Amino acid sequence: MAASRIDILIDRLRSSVERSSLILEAAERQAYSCDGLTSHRAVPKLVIVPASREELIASVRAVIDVDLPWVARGAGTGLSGGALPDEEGVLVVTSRLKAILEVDPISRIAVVEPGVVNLELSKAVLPHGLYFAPDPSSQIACSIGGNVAENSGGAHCFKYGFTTHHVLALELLLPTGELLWLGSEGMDGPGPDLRGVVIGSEGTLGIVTRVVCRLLPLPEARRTFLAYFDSVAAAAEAVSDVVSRGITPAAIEMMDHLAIAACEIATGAGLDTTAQSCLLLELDGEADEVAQEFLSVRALMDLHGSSHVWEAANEEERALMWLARKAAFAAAGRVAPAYIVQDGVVPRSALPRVLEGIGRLGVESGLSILNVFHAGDGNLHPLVTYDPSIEGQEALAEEVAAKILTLCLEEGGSLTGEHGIGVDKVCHMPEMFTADDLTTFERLRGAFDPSGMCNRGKLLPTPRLCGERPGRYQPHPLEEAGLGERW
Amino acid sequence: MGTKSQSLTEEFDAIAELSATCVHCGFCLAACPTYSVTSMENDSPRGRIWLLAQAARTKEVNDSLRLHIDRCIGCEACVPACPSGVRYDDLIDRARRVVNVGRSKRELLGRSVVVASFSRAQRFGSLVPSAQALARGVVKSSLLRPQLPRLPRVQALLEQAATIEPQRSMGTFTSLVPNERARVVMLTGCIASVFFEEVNAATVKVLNAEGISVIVPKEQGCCGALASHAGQHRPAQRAARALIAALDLPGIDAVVTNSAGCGAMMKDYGELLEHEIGSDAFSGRVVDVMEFLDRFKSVIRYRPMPREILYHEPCHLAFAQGVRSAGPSVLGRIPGLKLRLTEGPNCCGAGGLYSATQPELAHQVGEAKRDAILEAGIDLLVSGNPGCAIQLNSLLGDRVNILHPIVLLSRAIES
Repeated sequence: MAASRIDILIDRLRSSVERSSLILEAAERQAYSCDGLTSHRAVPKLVIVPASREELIASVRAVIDVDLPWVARGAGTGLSGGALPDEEGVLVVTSRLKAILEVDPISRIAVVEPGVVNLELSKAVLPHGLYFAPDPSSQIACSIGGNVAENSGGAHCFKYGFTTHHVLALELLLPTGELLWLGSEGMDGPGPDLRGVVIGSEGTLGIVTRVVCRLLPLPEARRTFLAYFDSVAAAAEAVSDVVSRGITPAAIEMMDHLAIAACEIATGAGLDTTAQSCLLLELDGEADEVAQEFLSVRALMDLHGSSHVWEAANEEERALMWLARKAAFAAAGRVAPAYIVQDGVVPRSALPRVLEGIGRLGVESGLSILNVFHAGDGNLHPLVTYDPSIEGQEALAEEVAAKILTLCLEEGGSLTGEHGIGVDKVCHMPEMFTADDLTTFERLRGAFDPSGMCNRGKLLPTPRLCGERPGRYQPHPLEEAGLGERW
Repeated sequence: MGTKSQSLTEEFDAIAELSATCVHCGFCLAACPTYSVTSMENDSPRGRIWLLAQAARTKEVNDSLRLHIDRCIGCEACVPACPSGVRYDDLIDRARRVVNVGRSKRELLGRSVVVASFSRAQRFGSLVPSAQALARGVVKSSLLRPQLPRLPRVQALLEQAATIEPQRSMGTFTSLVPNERARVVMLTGCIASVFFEEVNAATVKVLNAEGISVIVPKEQGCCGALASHAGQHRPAQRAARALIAALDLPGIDAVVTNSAGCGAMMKDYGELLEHEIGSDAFSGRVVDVMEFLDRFKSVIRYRPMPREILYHEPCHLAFAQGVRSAGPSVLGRIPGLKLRLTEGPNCCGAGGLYSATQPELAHQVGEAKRDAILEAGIDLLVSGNPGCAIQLNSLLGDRVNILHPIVLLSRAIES
């Protein structure tokens, strides 16, 4: 029985970890029942928040010993439910493991614990003129361990790549309890790239206990500007044109009219809310090169009918522009009571077509869809807004979101660019992969986790999971009446 | 009883509505001083909102909720950090009232005594020096000192009491200037008037030097912030009404305060008094002294002060009132003075009575702040809030001199 195994586990943990590392109270466990994807919720039987790496290792091994399912969680900012707890199992939270263990400015590496917040690492190495390149919008809060699990990207991944390009090695506690290092401190190690397999595996292959991060020198020069357009299509064409001319901006972000308005309400950054769309462009590198690229890009913006441009005059203005852009998802909460965010990827050349298709879906369904995305790599983030208090609208939003994904797949794109599959898109996996592909994935996973207890039910579809109609969280009538709670 | 449960239902309804705005993005985690030291979800705004939403749904207050609401400093740094616009300031006020339901009588009484004694500090002003001597004696006593760690709340209070410089109350007066540019009424503050008389004197001096007349009515009570922090709604409302009656004089351009905590409370009177007649208008006239000075082109000649000082932003000024640039802007009038913002967590852990009610967590937050301040290697720091000044003083001792910015301005005026 699961309950008695939990009791045995708690008993054992009491002698091996600090009392404050265990969250036993039901009400306190509830706060961990979801990550950034609130529509899926589950309350774990036990939450462990280890105070040290040693506690983390000891406690996960204890969980494995009693054969309970377990899930790792960082800062709980993920958007696909990767850190959704297992109702029958244990949630292991890395938030207290936030030590930066070593910074080597000569080799440009930092060794960190998994709970270190993304932006804190960049702040810590700033005095050496270095930074950690992956910058997901949640970088103010998300953890490096979570970045490794999801292979996080961010606004600058078009030029600088994803987490996998900035993590040289990692220490992994396998679902079997073994501890090992993968990768090397050099740029390339011998043997198959198991480090690469683990990065982006969404917490299904174990839990990361230490990470060797690669740091980049800060660029000599940066120019950041917003170009406004009268239509989404014109902005999309401008993006394709910039890239096809061999220019690689550090970031090319697009926001449509509704997204601009939401971000402006949230941050008061000074965006022009009358524009139909805007591109946030950043060029970085050596001063000469940036100056030249700026002239070319500026001319291309004019060519594609950009109505006006706001260039950041100083670091404060640049920070404001990014603040506005990075607040976009949560800012959608300002214009609608609820939303579903998708993460599909399409080839850049298909951007105008897909955006038009999304626009059509919005008109047909009557739901407002905000578009904010990494235009450079065709990673869309449409936010389908709805009002849960209107009967049937949530289901309609689900349907529209699913149709957007189908649209992306039809264009030869992908289900996810950086948010991960998690539980959110797990049932869409067969649309993208064949049965053979999925079997291969299963076998890879089984090699790391033979008992299948590590983040089970995520990433790869199971008949049990997808046989049931996947649905978003709906309060039971008893819950609504305040007569019962979901544990 | 009927009205009590009715008002509780209303609070729960409001909490349900306010917490529904949260989209669980986690952007508040980085802004929260308690999360920064504990890294526990339930010590973050997002976690507390979750607990509150659960409570609103079940209409039940459990010990976990009470614990984590009590552990919130109320710095409100999460409010500007929130992209989806959750009104955590409103939420925490309601939460503090709600968690008093079911609190043990003993604890409620204890909290009332602390609130009452602090908020009447003015009346007990003459007792302060002897009480302090006693506190210093206890802190230094070889017999009693070892017992203190067992009583962290007592220890925190005693250590703070021992470090504060006592001052006598200023009394009533009106200081009119010829050709006045404005006329204001000044809040003396319940704690400030006892412990920081120099701050009030400096405020009058600088305002006068700028050609602003100052009226200081004698009968002033507490602004009600301490009661409000303790979730005591009615006492807070009573204090607010009394203070409005005392300060809302005809022909006044503004109600000036040199205490960020009091300013935040008075600017919130409209909400606190449910917009009863006069409350919103009064709140609209309340202004922090630095905010007020920033509105005028200065006519003061300041002596140059060629040195670097640390500037601590009180949470109740920066986040609760949204006053951020005024302090540095006004201090920038002193030639040669260079400001550096303090690093570490925004909050020093003071939070009204927080350092007395949650000494351990307040100390942890304070230690993080202290280390960041010492790291800067600058021995003069300004802070526009008496609560922060007391907390920082007890954390830093002799190593860093702590002044109110208005005192620095007053000392820099060329005679």
